[in-house]
Amino acid sequence: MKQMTTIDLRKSNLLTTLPVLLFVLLTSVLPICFLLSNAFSESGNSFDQGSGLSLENFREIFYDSYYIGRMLYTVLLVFLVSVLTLLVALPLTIIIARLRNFWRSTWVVLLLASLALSEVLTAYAWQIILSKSSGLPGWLESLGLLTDSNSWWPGFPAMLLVLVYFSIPIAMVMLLPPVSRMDRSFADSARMMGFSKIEVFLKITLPILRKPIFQTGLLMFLLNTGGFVISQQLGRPSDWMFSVFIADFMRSFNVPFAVALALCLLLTVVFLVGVTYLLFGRQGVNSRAV
Amino acid sequence: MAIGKSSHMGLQAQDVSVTLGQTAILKGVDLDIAPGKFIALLGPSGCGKTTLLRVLAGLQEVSAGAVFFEGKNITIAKPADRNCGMVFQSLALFPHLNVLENIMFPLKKLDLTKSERLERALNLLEMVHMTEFRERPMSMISGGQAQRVAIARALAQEPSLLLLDEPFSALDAELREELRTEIRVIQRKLGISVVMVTHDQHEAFTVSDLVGVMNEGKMEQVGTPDDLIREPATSFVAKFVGQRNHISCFYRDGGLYEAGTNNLISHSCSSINLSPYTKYDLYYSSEAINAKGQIEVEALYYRNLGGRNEICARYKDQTIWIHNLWSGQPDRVSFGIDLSESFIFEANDDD
Repeated sequence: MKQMTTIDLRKSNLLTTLPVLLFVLLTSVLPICFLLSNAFSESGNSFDQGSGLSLENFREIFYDSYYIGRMLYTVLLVFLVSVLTLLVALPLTIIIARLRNFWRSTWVVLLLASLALSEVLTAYAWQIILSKSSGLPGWLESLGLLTDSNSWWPGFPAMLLVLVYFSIPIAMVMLLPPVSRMDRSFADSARMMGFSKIEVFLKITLPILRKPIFQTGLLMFLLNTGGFVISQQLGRPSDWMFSVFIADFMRSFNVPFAVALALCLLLTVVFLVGVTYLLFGRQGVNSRAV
Repeated sequence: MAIGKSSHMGLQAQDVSVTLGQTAILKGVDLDIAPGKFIALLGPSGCGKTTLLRVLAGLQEVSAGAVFFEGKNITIAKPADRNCGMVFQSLALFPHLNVLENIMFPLKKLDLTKSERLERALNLLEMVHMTEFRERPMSMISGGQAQRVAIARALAQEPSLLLLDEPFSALDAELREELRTEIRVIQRKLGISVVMVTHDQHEAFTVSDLVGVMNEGKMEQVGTPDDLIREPATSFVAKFVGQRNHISCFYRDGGLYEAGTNNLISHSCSSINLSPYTKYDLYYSSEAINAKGQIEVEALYYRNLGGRNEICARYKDQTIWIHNLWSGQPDRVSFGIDLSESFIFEANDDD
């Protein structure tokens, strides 16, 4: 049989990677080119772009610190949401992973079911839960536990709560497989050495799971950066995330400015994710262990 | 001996039972190991040997019974307060630490300075011949090397009792042999007691002072390998330890007959005290057969092991090996059994 030459191999590799390249071109490169071309065109109240290149949009964004401040606020908020989500999701996932098969499967089904709810429905449901007329504040007041209560939304706490709530099932679904696969002998072994449960969690469980935790945190960060429904529906205008502004400018047909804002957000996120990955993401753990 | 007292400074499990839900995992297990002895817990999968090991380690609560070690009742003591180290079946070496860090990890719980911890860890690495690999991450060492690291880590806190849960099951035969010898040498050198769980009879017999044979949550017999082979206490030990063939039979008119067919097994039963028409289980080895009986089997195939001819035959639902006493390779053979080379037990009603 004729042996494949290096050139043949290269051709064969090219053929197999071609569909992937096309997919990336269609779903990433072209939209980014569209963003770039729009971002550098003149602003206006229509989809019609000016003919020449213009830095007007970016000049306006960086004219004062307002948009930069909102972007920084959004990044910090999303970071906070990701951290809070992990703080809640990881212990819950560990508890679920230790359940018997039936109960574990039941939880997985419930988590997947909650993912089927859209962001909009979730936001409306929480508006009801947090409202005075038919939600928790009213119930607590009728029980005498609260006096002169108001609706608990809109506001930063309500927005933060729902952002975290919406992220938890996604994080748990991401964390469950590696947590379930983790050898329980690690904890038994550490207990025999005299380490407490908290020490086992901090010194064994967390370091061993750091890769899936990092990946989940990153996904939470990316997912929430682009979200605007919860922010807009449960926060005050002063609490709104950067994406709300982008959506607002899109709605008012100032597409080039909206796109310029989106591009700034994209570059900031790419920069932050890149730095984080270089600092922490490359320290993988032995895949044999989990 | 009454529960609640220990007769010596070794390890004792007294009437230990473990029930999970409705399932009895251990049913009144007794175990008595003098200090400095090496005992293997042998039995088929699911017989409860790992559960017993976890009870000794303090990782499994008992439903009844007591455990004593070094004269103290440790039944409800925390795992860390039992002065024992354990090598888990999966080894449980921490993947985020390197070889040296893994061994130094348990030393954090001892009142030692950093230099003392390092010195002890290096001594342990030397003992298991892993000094040159001390900086290696766990993903960069072989299965045998990982086994050595796990043993060193289990010995780091200088326990008086070492528990091994099928430690060599994932290794190839040559490496198993090597590590078996090594663990025995280490045990002798340190003078500690060792309890090893295994389902490998050869492993249990070659490395241990004593072997405890378990079946269905019960301890069938504890004895030296020689005791178990020559004087099995129960029909399970006779079958499991000697890898003997089994036949149901009954005694009548001075002869032993196959149950169900009345075919003659042996007519020289005078030396054995048997009751007429009582059902017995007879366990016999390949060598115990003779041509003086009427047990008929279908020969499946023949093999020659260094001049020793054997027949693989089908007897009822069993595949049995018997010595080939016949010329040629007949399709069916009839044989009897020499009772002096066999073990006979009154049949259980459950069987």
